Amino acid sequence: MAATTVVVEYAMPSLGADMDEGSVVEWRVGVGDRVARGDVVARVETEKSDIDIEIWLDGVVSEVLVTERRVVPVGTPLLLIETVDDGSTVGPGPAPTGERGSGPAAVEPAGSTLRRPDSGDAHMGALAPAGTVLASPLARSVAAERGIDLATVAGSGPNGAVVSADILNDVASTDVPTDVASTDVPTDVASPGLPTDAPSRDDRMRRAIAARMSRSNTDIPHYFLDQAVDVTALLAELAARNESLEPADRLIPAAAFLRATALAAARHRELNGHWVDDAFRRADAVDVGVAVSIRGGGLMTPVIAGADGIDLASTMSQLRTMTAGVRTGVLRSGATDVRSSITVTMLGDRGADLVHGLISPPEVALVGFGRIVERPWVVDGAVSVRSIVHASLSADHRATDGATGSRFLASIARLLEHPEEL
Amino acid sequence: MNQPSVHTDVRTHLCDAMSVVAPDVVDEIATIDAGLDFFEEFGLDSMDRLTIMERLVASTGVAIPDDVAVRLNTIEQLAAHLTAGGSG
Repeated sequence: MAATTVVVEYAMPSLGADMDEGSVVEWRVGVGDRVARGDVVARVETEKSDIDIEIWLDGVVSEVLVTERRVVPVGTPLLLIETVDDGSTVGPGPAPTGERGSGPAAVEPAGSTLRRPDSGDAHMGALAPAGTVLASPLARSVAAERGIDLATVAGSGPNGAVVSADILNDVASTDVPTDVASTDVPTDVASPGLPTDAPSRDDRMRRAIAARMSRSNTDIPHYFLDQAVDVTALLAELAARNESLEPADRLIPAAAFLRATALAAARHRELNGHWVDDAFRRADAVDVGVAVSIRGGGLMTPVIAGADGIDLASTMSQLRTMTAGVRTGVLRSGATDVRSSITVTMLGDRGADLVHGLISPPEVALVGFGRIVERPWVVDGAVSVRSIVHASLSADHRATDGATGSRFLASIARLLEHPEEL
Repeated sequence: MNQPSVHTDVRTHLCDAMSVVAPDVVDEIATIDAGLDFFEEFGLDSMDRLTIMERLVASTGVAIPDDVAVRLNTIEQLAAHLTAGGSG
């Protein structure tokens, strides 16, 4: 079949199962720009974080359909992309539910250039040295672009931090200099996309968490199991490996917990999937959601896709990247637009010995890990001091029974007690 | 170099490191008690610790072995290690 040029809509992706709407706070591409699969095309503000969204096909931007700051529902077309359809690979892109989309076709653009975002780690860069104004990385970037002194902007973020919306509101409420007007800030910046009395992101996040957890508590008949796991050998293994590694490459127990859960989920598929339409649907892949707390409250659950297929070092690398994204408030959409098939929460560093969490619907299992503590432990008939962690399982009784859950937990325990298998 | 000066230097390095894991408390680094466990004080976790150590190594050039990193919880402890050039 001969290749033909087609125009494809690129829609507001779902960047988390509880995301209903979002707003583009910054376009990174314009009409005529060439884009390739994986390129960041915009920064989107959600109720939990700013997320750099990646496009899922190659092509040329033919139209930008939504102005910055306008809140639109998930699924709303954002861009029109001219691409080449060879009859096989132009798919619909990520579905609004967060399923992964199909691949794109290649296209030969007419010499346009992509205005790439700042270096990939720009948002991870240094923030305020002591004595300066507390502000988000995006707010600093926006302020610098617009020549605005952060000290003159009232912050509405955590601990009074200035967030990007504060600057845009400030711009909208004062005389707009010429160079600001030329940067596509919509004249309706304060409404309807961002009314001045809109709830803060913290408020919206709490509402989203409240709705999700209420649904979980109401709809899911949970059962809870836990198992004490001897991780003495694991800690020794990690220490041995870390001895020759720089901090940037070191491993922490959390990575091993994720790896063990992913491998166990691959073996016990009845706990890896979703409860939909009164039936359990096994997931095709083991996509592990990781609950990462946000400083100041709330949490995000970025996803390690295909977590059973990557090694411990790669698991650690992804954990580092997503944690940094959550800490700095900017994630890549690749970590959020995959729907997780199982979730892990680790509260040991916060002091909890045991975690009995609520499942994130429509998943059917949540695995928790508590604090690693030294305990007197019987090994080969003798008492010795060992490092122990409690692994827990919260599972949906509609999908599985306790026996299945116990076998799953035992698999996790076995893997952690034999770190050479991780 | 006298101790207050060393502590000031450590606080400066720590501010940079903290900016990527806990930007909300960066301003507090300048005044926190040098003997206070700032990991506990600021609710930092093991991933935060790793990132902080990575940044400190990068900014000071002083090695921080993994088994040492878990014991560096205060400004004083950091200062002792860094002024000893990694052998403290």
